[in-house]
Amino acid sequence: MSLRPLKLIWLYFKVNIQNLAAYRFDMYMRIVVSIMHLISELMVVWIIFTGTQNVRGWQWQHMLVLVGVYRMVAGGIRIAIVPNMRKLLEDIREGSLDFALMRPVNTQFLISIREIVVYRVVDMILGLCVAAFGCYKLTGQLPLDEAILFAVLLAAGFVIVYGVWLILGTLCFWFIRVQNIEMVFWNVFEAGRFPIVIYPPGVRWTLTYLIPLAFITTVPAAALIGQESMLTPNAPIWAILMAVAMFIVSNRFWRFGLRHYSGASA
Amino acid sequence: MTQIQVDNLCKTFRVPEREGGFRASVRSIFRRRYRQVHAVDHVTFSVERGEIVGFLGPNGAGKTTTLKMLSGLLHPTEGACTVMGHVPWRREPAYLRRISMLMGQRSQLAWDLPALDSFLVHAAVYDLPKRQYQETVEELIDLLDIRDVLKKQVRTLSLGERMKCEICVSLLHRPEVLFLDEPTIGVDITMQARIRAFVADYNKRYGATIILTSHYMADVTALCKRIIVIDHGKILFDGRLDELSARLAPFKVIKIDLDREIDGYDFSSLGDVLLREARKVLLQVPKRATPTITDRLLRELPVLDLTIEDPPIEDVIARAFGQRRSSDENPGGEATAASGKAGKEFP
Repeated sequence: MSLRPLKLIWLYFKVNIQNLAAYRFDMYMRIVVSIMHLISELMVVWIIFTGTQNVRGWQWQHMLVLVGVYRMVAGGIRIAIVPNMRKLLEDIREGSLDFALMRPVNTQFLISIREIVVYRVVDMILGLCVAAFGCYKLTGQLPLDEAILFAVLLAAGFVIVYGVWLILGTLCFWFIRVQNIEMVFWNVFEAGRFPIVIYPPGVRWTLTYLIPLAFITTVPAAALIGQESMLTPNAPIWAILMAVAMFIVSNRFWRFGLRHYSGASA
Repeated sequence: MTQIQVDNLCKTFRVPEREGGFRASVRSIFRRRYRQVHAVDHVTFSVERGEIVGFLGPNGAGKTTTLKMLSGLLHPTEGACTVMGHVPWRREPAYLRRISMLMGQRSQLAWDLPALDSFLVHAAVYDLPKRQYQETVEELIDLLDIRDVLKKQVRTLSLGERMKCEICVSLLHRPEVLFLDEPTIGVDITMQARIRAFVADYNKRYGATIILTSHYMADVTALCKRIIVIDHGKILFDGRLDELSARLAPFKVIKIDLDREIDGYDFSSLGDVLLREARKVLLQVPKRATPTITDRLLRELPVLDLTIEDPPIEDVIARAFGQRRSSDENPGGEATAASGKAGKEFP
């Protein structure tokens, strides 16, 4: 294996850092908005737990961990997944995808690494702090033993989200205007702010297997808390299988879409 | 050595179609009707290494579609094509490294960054060795005279400057085959001339094969010895530029200066009157009738001066498209636009 893919990622990373300077004000505003989001999410937890001790086995410390994980995932999605997919949609609409197609590099790889919004790392750091604080309140120490499993599951969650986005982006080959899909995505994603167990069985099943939201926030959070009982049995294995499946399916669908694009576009 | 071989290439698009009006719109939501559009219709040609070939034709003639198939962006509906032994639409990296396509209407430079940064990304994507990149970029910067603009953000550049940077970036990997789709669109005359000179120079230096489409006739006449005229997806003409007028328009233009004003002489019975002023007439006549008509004019009129010329290439092509188009369609947009421009320069 050559190091070329890594070199390319690094290069795009640097280019995007340079780009930051052009949008400094935007960056500050967005960081402020992120912090406000986090505060409002913490308020929700506070409001819920002033009335009760426990929501279906989740205490406020657990909820803090989940809110933190949710923020980390949301930030991670905004670092690379959403920006790249936005650019893809724009490219398809404006026809500039042609340039990406003509590069002697795997097109899926190229369209997935071009945009990196570095400052969104702030979300991930804030989220990590909140989650760590929750764990600390729970056990009196930081969850170092669970960290590896947590990292793996978080990565699996990102792969799942990436797959979902790639499928949504690919739809643009047929339906040229699908920007609204981002709104739909975030609205569904909101549901991940709460542990999957609070939803009625039908919704829970849907959010686990149909739209695998459970694997994106609840499962990593539960791993961090170290309470496997709060999960579907074998949740980590399911999460990894789901990630692999999403990656394969989305890649197939992308390639199918690309064939359609080059078969039909003007 | 044949570098591009195209055999019976076809591209048919399925285009949704509906009549105007509200009811038709609503109906089309549920049931779409489609129309087949033959954008490229059994096109066959071959290009030798180092040739510059001009594609001429009105908007929607199939020029860009053909270029897109050659560069691997589109799968053809039918037919075959190889470029340097590769089938373009397989988009093998080995092929993509050897070609480049420049689209005058689209930018491949990052908008918010200096062009130089886009060059670096391009070099990495094409995995260019550092030394080769340095050499090429230095050479191109000098040739295109863009040293001063490289460090400015692309969005602050003028169209001409940006276009030169676009050309530079698309040549960094030294493509052997170059597809230029409207490379001079929107830039001023001086810049057009410089871009043309550069393209000619690149072709000489590297023996690159170039296919060029353009709105501007001058691009084609200045650069291409050979042109392919394409309309409605079909090749109308493929050959040397100077043969084109002979083939497509067997006409001559007779320019007459009169000694004094003449009333009531019926020029239109001799041919098409292009211009009629008090003491000046431009007459387009069939080539074969030129001697007899000239003879008659000299006998019947007080001619001060008479010259016989070939019609301008723009008019020739506009006429060729005009004839082929049915009356309900817009006759060859870009060709007539070009002829309109040239009309002013006409003697």
